[in-house]
Amino acid sequence: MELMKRTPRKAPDTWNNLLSLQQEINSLFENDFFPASDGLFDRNYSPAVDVIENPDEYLVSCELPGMAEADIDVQVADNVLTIKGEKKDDGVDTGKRWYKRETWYGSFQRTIPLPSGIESDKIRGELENGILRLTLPKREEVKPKQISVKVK
Amino acid sequence: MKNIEDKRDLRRSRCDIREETDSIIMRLEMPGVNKSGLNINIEGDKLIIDGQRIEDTKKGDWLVHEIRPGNFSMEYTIDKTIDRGNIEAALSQGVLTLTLGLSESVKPRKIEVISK
Repeated sequence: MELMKRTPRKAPDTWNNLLSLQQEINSLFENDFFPASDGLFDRNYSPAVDVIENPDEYLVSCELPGMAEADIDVQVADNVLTIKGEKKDDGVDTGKRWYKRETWYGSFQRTIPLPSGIESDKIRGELENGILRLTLPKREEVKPKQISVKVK
Repeated sequence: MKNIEDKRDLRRSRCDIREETDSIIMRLEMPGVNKSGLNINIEGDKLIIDGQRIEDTKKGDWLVHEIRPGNFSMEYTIDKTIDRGNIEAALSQGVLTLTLGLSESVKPRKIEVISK
């Protein structure tokens, strides 16, 4: 057996601890750890949305593959369009083995702020081939008007 | 063969692949593709799925543009375990479900033991 010199326990270095705490807090702000979403209550899984404006109406498209009309709920309140729903699992989970699992299931919500001047009674929606298309007509007074002036 | 220039605008769909007892089920999300725009081919060991999207004819100014444009195109390699003659495809609400039957030699077989 060999005799070893006893090393005294190191006294805690408070300053060093503070420095590492500072580094940790700084790194928290550097990281983008919040899930990417466009609204406060939007889920991490948010379906892709397109919004097109033309002189008469706003057109909103939303990719919702594999969803039935009953699973989708569209609401307009106070110039905020909310598309929410639940994407149901196809129920078959007897698979022996998954090779790939890229799709997601669960509830989602997308909120899209709208400009004022939308005729909320005349909003139309259709679901076709997994794409939800909404037509939001503008009110007459917000539509750009062309006044022709005749010069004599 | 597709040119590289054409391939740049193509989009890959989200895909689930799972194995059942006598088949492989593929589920591909292809929003905006209808039956006539879908083309499924088998070339040798390749399963090629092309989905032509319906052109959006509506014009205007884009306020939000998140949906990736472009048609779908996927290529998967299938091996001998897939029975080429037993492939079924169904498209509903932008979701393509492919049922690839496994060939007889790979299917689990129960061997009856006869006692004498």
